[in-house]
Parts: sequence; structure tokens; C-alpha cells
Amino acid sequence: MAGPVAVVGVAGAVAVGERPPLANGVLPAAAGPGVGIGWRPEIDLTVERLPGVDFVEVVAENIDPARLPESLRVLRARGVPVIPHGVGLGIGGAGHPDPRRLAWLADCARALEAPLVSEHLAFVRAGGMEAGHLLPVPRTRAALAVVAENVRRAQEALPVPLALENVAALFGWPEDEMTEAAFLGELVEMTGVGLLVDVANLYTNQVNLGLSATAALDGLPLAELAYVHVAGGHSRGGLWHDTHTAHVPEEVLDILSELCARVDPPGVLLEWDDDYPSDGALERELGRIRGAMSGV
Amino acid sequence: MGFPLFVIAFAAALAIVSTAFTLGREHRRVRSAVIRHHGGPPTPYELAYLSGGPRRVVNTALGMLAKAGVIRVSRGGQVSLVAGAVPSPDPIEHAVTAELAQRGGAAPVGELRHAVAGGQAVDGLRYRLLGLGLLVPESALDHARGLLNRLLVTSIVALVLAVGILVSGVRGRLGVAALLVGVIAALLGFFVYARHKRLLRDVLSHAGHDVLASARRTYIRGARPVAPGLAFAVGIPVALYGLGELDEPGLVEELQRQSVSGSGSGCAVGACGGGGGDFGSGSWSDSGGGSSDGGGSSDGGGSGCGGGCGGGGCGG
Repeated sequence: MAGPVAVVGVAGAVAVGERPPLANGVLPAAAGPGVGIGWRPEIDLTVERLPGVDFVEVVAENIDPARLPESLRVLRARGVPVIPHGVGLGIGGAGHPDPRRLAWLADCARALEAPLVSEHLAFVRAGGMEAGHLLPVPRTRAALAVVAENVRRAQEALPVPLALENVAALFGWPEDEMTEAAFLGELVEMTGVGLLVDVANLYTNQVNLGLSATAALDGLPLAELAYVHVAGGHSRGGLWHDTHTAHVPEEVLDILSELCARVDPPGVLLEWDDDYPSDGALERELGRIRGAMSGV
Repeated sequence: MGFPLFVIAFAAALAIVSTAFTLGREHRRVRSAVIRHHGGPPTPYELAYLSGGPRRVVNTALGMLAKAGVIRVSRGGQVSLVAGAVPSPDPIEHAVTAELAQRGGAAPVGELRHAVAGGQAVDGLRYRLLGLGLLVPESALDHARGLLNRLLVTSIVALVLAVGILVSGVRGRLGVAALLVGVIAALLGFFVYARHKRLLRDVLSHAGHDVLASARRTYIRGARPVAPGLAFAVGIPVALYGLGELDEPGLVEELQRQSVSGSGSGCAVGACGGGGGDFGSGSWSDSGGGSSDGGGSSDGGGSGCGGGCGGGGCGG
């Protein structure tokens, strides 16, 4: 059974078993940090029987809110919070977010009685072309204004708070005027959006782009932290591939420990998207995450 | 008219009794004609074949592999390989994992069972059991099946005769006697036919029945494993009594699926696009604990909607 979990929204947290309010606003008080795992259909029964799973996250585009997978219904019946995690909204795009996609996210949040919805600070399409990647937003003042407006539109369309995730950037824009941390900080200040910090993405950017993960943690507005992502990957040709298909490297767990030294994260979630290992291996991975959270 | 009818009825009865006797003798002869089993203790997969045929064999392997963490079963009856799991040297288990690998690492349980049950590994197991004298070759039962058909025809003739006598009006003692003989002969024929038809579905030899019955006496349904190890905790119970012996109802439910049903998933607008058969011969099944004779030994007696991962990473 899942233990208590708190998933902080913009201005609070929601505990296991409690029904979060389905309107933007203050959520119930925090009940302590939790550890979660990304729910995927391939490991649904595994997620259901894994001990100590306090909350899960589901890729919103992979479910139909009108016909939730049985496994998610089982988890919800047990009181396990399920967070819809969008990958296709493209809130960092120049255009406004697609109302249909926002409606889909809202429907997912309602169907799952989710405490919040998360997405990426990225753009995924432009000029009718789908990138197939989560591309970094140009960190300029002009882009910030556009993204802030997009975030506000999303917040208006969603029945629960929104949290945005830092991405593993394939590249940086030459016209960048600020760091990702500073950009997110101003965005949070302008919109009140929550933060989903992916420490594996911080590590990826550190390895591939030379951007210090510690400096990023120093600059991020961690007071608005909703939850944290952790994942493994592979090193190839001197580049880190954040594949979500391997054990979390110690370096990523070290960044998680650094984050936990700065703030008590409401929840930390393991992402594993393919090449799923045994139940035991996943359980051990969650244990490693707990260890990193407690500084062990 | 009574006498000829009586003679015909008597002749039909004689043919039925004679055929039934010959059928029983042939049945006993075939099942006893094979060599006696002198091998070591049967493996879980040998017991599975004797108990429930190829389907039970595959289900036993699925249960063993799932419990060993070599495969993963998810809702909707999807079976997938667990990354990093050590491959099994057992030919049946290897056949399951090889089939999954050939299908890209995952397959619906019904299709997987169908493929493995009809594959070389299970066929090899059947030949091994034939060699041990625990199974009777299907062809050895051809004569008995021919006799069974003859018995059916004769019984129908006797029944038609009896009905004819009844409809045309019974006259005299011989007429009544002809009617009674015809009815009794037909009933006897149908009874023997039904009994042997059921028994002929089972291809276990006497020795096969003995081995199976002995295993069921040793490994009582629902009892604690007699020794440590998955073979005793999972393999033998599932082999002898079916998937219901697994201690996870959810796993049992998914493994018993014949085909994949909708998982209730769907995709957001514009977000997607990118990125059992029953092999039991005759009455063999995997729903319960027995072979066709209940375990006795007499011859009378189973999206593309990813997160946009790739390249430098998922970022999400």
C-alpha cells in the first residue's frame, strides 16, 4: 500500500486519500515527502504491487480520460495520487497552447482527481512541423513574455495547478539572455506556476552543455517545487543520453541529494520508459532514491 | 414377422456387445503396450504435459518465468521480457523467451501460448514422454477409434429398429422381445460409445496415469511446497492443478486471457502516431486440476504516444 505522499502545488500540498480541490487555489497542507514511479502500461501490475509507491505519474497523451486504464483506477481507489504529465502541449512555443490539448489535460486531471498537472518548459512544434523532441525555449525577455502568457492561458484552462519541468536540452540558443534557472525563476514569479525539477535533465545539461547542475539548483525557485524527476540513461561518445532505460547513476542521485539539502521535495518520481527491469530492481531503485533523499 | 425382427434385433445386440468388448480389449492393449516408465522423477513440464497437455506446459513456463522475474505480465494479458534477466537453459522456458524476443520483447499471452505450444520445444517434450512410455502415440489409437465409429453405427441401427417396431405396432412375444433387445442393445451401445469416446481423447498410457496419480498424491493441491525452489512452489502446483495455484490473482487473471483486450488507453488529439488458443488435446485444459480421467490410472479409465524521447534524451 502506498504511504503518505504530498505533492505540492503552487501554494501547498495534497495528502494521500484526500480529494484535492478541482479548482485553482490553495491545496491542503503537506504530509511529508513521497517516492513515486512513472506508471506505464507495460509495468502496470508491477507498479500496483511495488511497496512504498506514494504517487505515480502518467503520460497524459497516452490515456483516455473517458476510459482510464484499470490499473490507474485501482491505484486511485487505493488513494494513490496520479499526476497527468503532458509531453505535447508545447507551452514554450510562440503560439498559444492548443485548447484541445489543454482540454485533454484538464479532463485527465478531473478523471484522475489529480492534485496538479505537469508539463515541460519546451516547444515541440512550429509552422505545422512536429519536432518529436522537447526543444529548449530561447531564454530571452521576449520569449519569457510569450511563455508567461501561454502559462496563464494553461492555468485558466486547467482545474488544478500546473507545474513545469526543466528539459534536457539538445542545444542552447545563441541569443539566450539568462540561465534556465533565472528564466524559470522569473516565470514562476510572473505566473505562480509550480516547478517540476528533473535532476537527470540537470545532469544531462551538465555533461552535454557544461551547465553546472549545482548552479542551476542554486538559481531555481525551489520554494515552488512541486516534485522531482529522477531517471537513468547511457553515456555514449562523451554525451549523456537521458533514455529513462537504465539505473539512475550515482551522479544524478548526488544532484538529488544536493536538492534535498536545500529543500524537502514533496515527492520524487522515478521515470523508467523502456527495457524495464525486474520488480526487485525497480524496488531497489526506489530505495536508492530514498537513500539519496535522506542523504545516505 | 416377430421372429425375423427378433433375429435382426438379436444380431444387432450381438454386434454391439462384440464391438464393445473388442473396443475395451483394444483400448487396454494400446495403453499397456508401451514400455513402463523407469525414468527419474518427472520434471514440472513432464507433469504439466501429462496433466493438461501443451497448454498446461506453456502456462507452467509462464508462471515459472513470471515468478522468477524473467518475464513481466501486465494488464490486458501482455507478456514482456524483463531487461537484464538471465536466460533460462530449460528448453520450454527458453522457447517462451525466444518467442518474445522474436516479437520484439513483448506479445499478447494468447498468441505467445499458441506459438510456444505448437513449437519445437513442446513437441520435443511430447516425444520424450512417448519415449518414456508415458504417452500413447495418437496413431496407436486409430483402430480403437475405428471400432468406436462402428459401435456408434450399430447402436443407431438398433435404435432405429426398436423405434420401427414400436411405431409399426408390437405383436406377440417375439415382437416384444425384439423391441426390448433392440432398446437395451442401443442403450448399451451409446453408453459404451460415450465412455470410450471420452477416454480416447486421453493419450496417457497406464504408466503415464500412474506417474500423474503418484505426483498428485505427493503434491497435494494447496499444500505447502515440499522443498524450496520455484519448481516446487510454482512449477509443480501449476503443472498439476493449473494457473489457479499461483498466489497472485491478478497474475492468474492476465495469464488466463486468450487474447489481448483493450487496455482502456487512448491518445490525445494529434498526439499519437509518431512516436489462444486452446491446445489441449481433447479434454486437456488449464482451468482445473485434472486430465480427462480425473487423474486415475484405469483405461476404463492451457504507443506510439511516447514522450518524444530519443537522441539526446527524453527531457521529460
